[in-house]
Amino acid sequence: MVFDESERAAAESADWIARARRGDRRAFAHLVGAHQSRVRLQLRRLTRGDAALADDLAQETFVQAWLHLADFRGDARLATWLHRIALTCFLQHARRPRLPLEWRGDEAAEAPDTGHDPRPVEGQGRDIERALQALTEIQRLAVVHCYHLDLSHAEAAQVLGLPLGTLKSHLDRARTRLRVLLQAWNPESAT
Amino acid sequence: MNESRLTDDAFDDLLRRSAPGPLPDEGFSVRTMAVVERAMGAHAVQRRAAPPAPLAIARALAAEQRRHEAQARLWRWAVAGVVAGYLLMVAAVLLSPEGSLAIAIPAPGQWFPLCVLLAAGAIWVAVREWRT
Repeated sequence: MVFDESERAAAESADWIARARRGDRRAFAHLVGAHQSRVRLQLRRLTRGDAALADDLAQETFVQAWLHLADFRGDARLATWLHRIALTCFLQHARRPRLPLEWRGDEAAEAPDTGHDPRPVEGQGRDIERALQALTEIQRLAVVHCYHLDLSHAEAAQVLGLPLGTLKSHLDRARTRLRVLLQAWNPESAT
Repeated sequence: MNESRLTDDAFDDLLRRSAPGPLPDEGFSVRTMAVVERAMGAHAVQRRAAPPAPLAIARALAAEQRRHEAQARLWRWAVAGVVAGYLLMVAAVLLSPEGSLAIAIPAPGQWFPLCVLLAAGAIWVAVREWRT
């Protein structure tokens, strides 16, 4: 049943994309509405909580997507393609050619990333947020893309422009560090 | 298949549960589509057909010149063919033993092969013209 639902959703999405590629602006507006949240969340992470800048970059992302929709071959999910464009927009804004493979962990701590969620975080959420701040940027982005944006490892590697093995390596290190930092909240350690 | 979903680990669930909730649209889509419309206008202006380059103009003129010369050559050959035919006829009359010309008009049915030949020639010339 779930498989049928996902198949139906994929077919529906492909239909909207096909209509948008034919120049149907209403179809593209539908796609913007469907994907705006995840793109804005990703960019809020990248801009370290600057919601206004993130929204500007998200708009630029969708403009680029509209202008280059003919280049979308459908090999990847539209969400993956949009996340990749969003990252490119962010890097162009930051005038950085690519993400640094290793950033110092304390650099992130100096500039706290609070923009991922406007809601106040309490208890477990606050601790997880603090633990994420302790990671290097690339580790945090790996976690955010794989767990928060619900991308597969391959998709996250594609978005971040990393080899799959490198992405997995960063993710593994991040999980190891988070396990230590969140030991109190880990059900496995509680038993 | 989502690889990160494969591990049935409580820790992974913990991380996944910490994902922020979806952001409300709050007019973002409408604002974005307005920006898209503006960008489309700018893009259309940018993509207006560029004036032909001097090299392209020169090539087009050279091709036109070649076509013109080919037509003139064809016309000259056609005129030469008619003149040659007329001269041939005059020569045949002068060289004939009687020194006169007797014209015998054939029956209409005998014109058919000539009509076919002329029609084929006309079609060939027309196709050639159309292709150039």
